[in-house]
Amino acid sequence: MAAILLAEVNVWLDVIFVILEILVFGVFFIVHLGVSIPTGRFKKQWIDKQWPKHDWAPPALPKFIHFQHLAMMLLLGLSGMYIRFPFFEGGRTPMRYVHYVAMVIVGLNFFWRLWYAFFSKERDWKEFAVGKKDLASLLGVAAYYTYFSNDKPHVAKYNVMQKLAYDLFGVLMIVQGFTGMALLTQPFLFGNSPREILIGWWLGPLVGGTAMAGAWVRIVHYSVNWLFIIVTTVHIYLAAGIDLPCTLDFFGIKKLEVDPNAYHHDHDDDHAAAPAHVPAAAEAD
Amino acid sequence: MKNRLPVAAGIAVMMLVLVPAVAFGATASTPMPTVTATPSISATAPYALDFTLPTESKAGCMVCHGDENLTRLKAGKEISYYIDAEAIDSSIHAKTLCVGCHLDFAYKAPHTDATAWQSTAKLACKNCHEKQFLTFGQGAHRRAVDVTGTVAETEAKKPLCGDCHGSHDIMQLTDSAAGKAALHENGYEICGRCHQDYWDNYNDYYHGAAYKVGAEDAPACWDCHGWHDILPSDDPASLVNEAHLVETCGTGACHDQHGTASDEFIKNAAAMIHGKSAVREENPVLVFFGRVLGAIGKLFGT
Repeated sequence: MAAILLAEVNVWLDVIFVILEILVFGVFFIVHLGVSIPTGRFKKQWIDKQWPKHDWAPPALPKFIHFQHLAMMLLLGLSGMYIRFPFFEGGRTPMRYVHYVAMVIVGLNFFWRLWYAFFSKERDWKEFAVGKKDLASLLGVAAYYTYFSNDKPHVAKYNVMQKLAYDLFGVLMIVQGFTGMALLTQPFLFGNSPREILIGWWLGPLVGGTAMAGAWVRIVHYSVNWLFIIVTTVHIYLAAGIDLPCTLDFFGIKKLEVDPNAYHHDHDDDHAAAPAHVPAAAEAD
Repeated sequence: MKNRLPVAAGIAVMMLVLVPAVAFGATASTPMPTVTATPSISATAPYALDFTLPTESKAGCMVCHGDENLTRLKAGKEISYYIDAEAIDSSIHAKTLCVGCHLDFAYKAPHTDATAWQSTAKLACKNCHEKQFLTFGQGAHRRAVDVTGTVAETEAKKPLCGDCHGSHDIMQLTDSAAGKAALHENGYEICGRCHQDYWDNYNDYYHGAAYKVGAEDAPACWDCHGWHDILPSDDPASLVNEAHLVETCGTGACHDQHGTASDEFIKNAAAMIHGKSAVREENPVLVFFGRVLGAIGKLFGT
């Protein structure tokens, strides 16, 4: 039994994540979208065109970084899946190079975005920081998205679930970068490979050798890849379904109309019944 | 057919001059030829000459075998006897005479004698490649003979050199990247068509599945199992016996990095190489969906 543990774990991962992705897709694109019809949200947004208003428009640089990030993540996902499930002839070596190049660009983008968030003139790290007020609004936001409430609490530009999702993306990228590097076995670092340097000396003895450590890290890398796919599925649904104008602006398709008097991510629910609504700038932690 | 005398005389002269040359030129000994000037017959038309002995340029044999229409009806099946001259010329044996491998060539045209000429040709390699043949004799593919020297029917099904290496288009392997690459991508023809079950379950993520779509760095069967002296995995001397897996997987360009191919890893990874299919077949979720899809298929009559 122990000898087939790796095979068992890998097959179960394939099964679980495929089912999970199908479920997530169904829950959002069928169930959530379907429920938006009787609750009136669908009509309000897609027919009456009452989308959230904004007193800001996404700046150019984050949009550029986001677009690059999207393209490279697509390439990483595609090439990564090919490496595991080769589905056309003769693609292993080219797809590996695609994976490496996309990995480098995503890595550079990541550091660029960190610089933008913490050190640029527009430094916006506070937009992603989760504070006490954000956490206090968590249940309210969850209730809004699950149709238990028509009021979405506003405490900042992004709601708490957005912030958590975006922050999770950053954490997953760090994990994916680390595990991805730990899969490299070419000894180009003074005779040692990234795998030996990153995991060989500490994880190796715990699981039965450096190669075995690599096998487990590959499992983590593959799992995180699926987490990206699942989180991105939700992100695409919410971005297009909740705030289409902002999404169109993000991709340069249609410029976002800025309303200086609007709250960040305002919506058309009953504002009078939502005393928690205050300008985002004043609420940001 | 009108000028038989000059033709017969020509043949006699050629015999005197060429047959010794052929006999000494070929790396294996050939029987003394007996010429029977029976007309050669193509599927489409008679040839312009009665019969031509093999020459150093192979032109004699290729007069007939260079014709794409050279076929014979055998047990209701049309068999082609066409030989691609370009394939021979680009092979490593371009300079070897036909009778160097077709040792039992009977100098009759058409060659209607019921001889084991295919086996003879497939085994003729041993005359030059003695070392490889001796190694082959230590592997599972050697043909056992009983005390009477008879080869049992099951033994006779085992492959000879030519069954794996091919015939007229054999490429150079030693110091030849192209030859090695051509061999590498031929796993099904070489091993899979006999070992269909192992070919089918060779589909793990990074070895089998990748190999089957042409990954140059994915191992072919023989990269793990060995070749001429290949043995079943339960044989203690087999390269894929449990006792040798670390050594087998940990050498070459595979899992040899600073001795990282540990027992734990190799046992796990090796079990997955031919074991993933079985694991998938036993996975309860996949079994369930397989049954559901099967039922739906039956419902729609597919």
